[in-house]
Amino acid sequence: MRSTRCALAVAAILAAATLAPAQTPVDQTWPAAKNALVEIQNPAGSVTIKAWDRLEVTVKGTLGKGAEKLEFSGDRLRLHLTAKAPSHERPPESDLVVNVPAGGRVQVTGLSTRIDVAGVAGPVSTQTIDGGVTVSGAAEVEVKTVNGPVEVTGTKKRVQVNAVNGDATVKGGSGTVHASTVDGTVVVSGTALESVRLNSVQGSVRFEGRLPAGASLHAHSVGGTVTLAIPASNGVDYTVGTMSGTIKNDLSDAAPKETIARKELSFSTSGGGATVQVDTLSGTVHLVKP
Amino acid sequence: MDDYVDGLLDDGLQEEVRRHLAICPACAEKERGLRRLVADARALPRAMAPPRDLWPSLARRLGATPGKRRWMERAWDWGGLAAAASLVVIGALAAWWSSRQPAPFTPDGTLGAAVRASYAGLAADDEYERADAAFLAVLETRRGRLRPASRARVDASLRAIDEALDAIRAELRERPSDPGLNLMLASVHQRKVDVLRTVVSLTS
Repeated sequence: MRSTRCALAVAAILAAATLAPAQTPVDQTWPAAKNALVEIQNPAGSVTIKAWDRLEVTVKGTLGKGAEKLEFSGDRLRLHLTAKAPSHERPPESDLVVNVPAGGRVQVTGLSTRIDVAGVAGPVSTQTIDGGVTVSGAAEVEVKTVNGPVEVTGTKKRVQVNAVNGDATVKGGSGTVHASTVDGTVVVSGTALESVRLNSVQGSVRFEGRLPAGASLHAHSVGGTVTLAIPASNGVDYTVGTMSGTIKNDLSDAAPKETIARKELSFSTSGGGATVQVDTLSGTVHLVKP
Repeated sequence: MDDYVDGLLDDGLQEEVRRHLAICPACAEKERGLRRLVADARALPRAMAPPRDLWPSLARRLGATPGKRRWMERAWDWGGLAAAASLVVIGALAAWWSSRQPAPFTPDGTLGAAVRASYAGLAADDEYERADAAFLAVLETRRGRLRPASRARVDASLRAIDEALDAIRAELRERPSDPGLNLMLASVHQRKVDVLRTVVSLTS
């Protein structure tokens, strides 16, 4: 009988341990200035940032099993939040939903962290190795990612995306876009961008849309394909060169001039106005009709 | 960035850059690095070329020998890594400073065309390779922080860069003075350093 009771007690303890919450809930609020800088470090899991009209920063969500705490430092002008994790282990996954003042500035750093930012008017900066990144509606965006996909939409002034092998998409907006990849895919689309710079080592880069008069697009690639889908009705001066790659031109009858070391193609559509310069070592350049 | 450091921007733009630096650690690090480089370049006698082999100094700063990895891991100082990258380009910057050519860095923080054009691609290859090796040695100590699939993808991208570098080198052997190829080699090298720096930084 006693052994049966002992066995039941042990089983109960084990069951309780199994049913104990693996994650710790978080629900905290701090006062913040309307243009507060909010810095968030979460090594794994997700960070979802939403803008609101209150002068507060709230964090709701769960800290992953093994996470030590959500650490706060700073003041209402600069708030620094860290999901603390043991430094020498694979970090636990914490999922945080953060509300920030709409005029705030945001900086998120992660390792294996999905990052979503929506509606923040100030500059947004993210760095992560794994996990996707989406940012919409910010004035300025800077994204550094290694493996994760990136999608940036509707940025008003400046986008800089440094991807390595994740796919990156930049849609719409105005101002400047600088996007680079090592061996992923970069697609930029828009009709009001003033300056576009696309760089690739071995990945493919693509622009689709229109360029306003006076705008410029520079694309450089070593071995990756550069594809431009700009309508012939858009006034553009093209200068395209490659050493050992191929130039395919669907926009006009102009053919590349070949020398021993290089192929070059220069022509204009609809009287010119915007500038396109493309240069590759061995990558294909394809000027396609949209 | 260099115009900002030199105080050449108009007040509005200067303030805009200052605000951006306040929230962007990457750019802030570039700014600090540029200020250090400019200070170093100013300190160089204008008539003296910088030493060709930068590796001894690099190695001293990084402790980049296999037996010292644990020490490196403990003592790793991001400033040291920035200094490594700084050393790679210090010669070029010194040349830039002497001639006061504008824009040593492009807005995305890579070396500007004027500097890179004066920068013999293949001759700089060894220095970059050694800097890469130092970053890789540190990365090796931090691999456990990455998921296996992530490690594999990072390795694949580094291989893609190495293949690109090989392709550019092959062309450069045929046309060593081609400015476009030299720029491309420097640019891809810079990209590799940026990738390594990002991974090392985020896994620290």
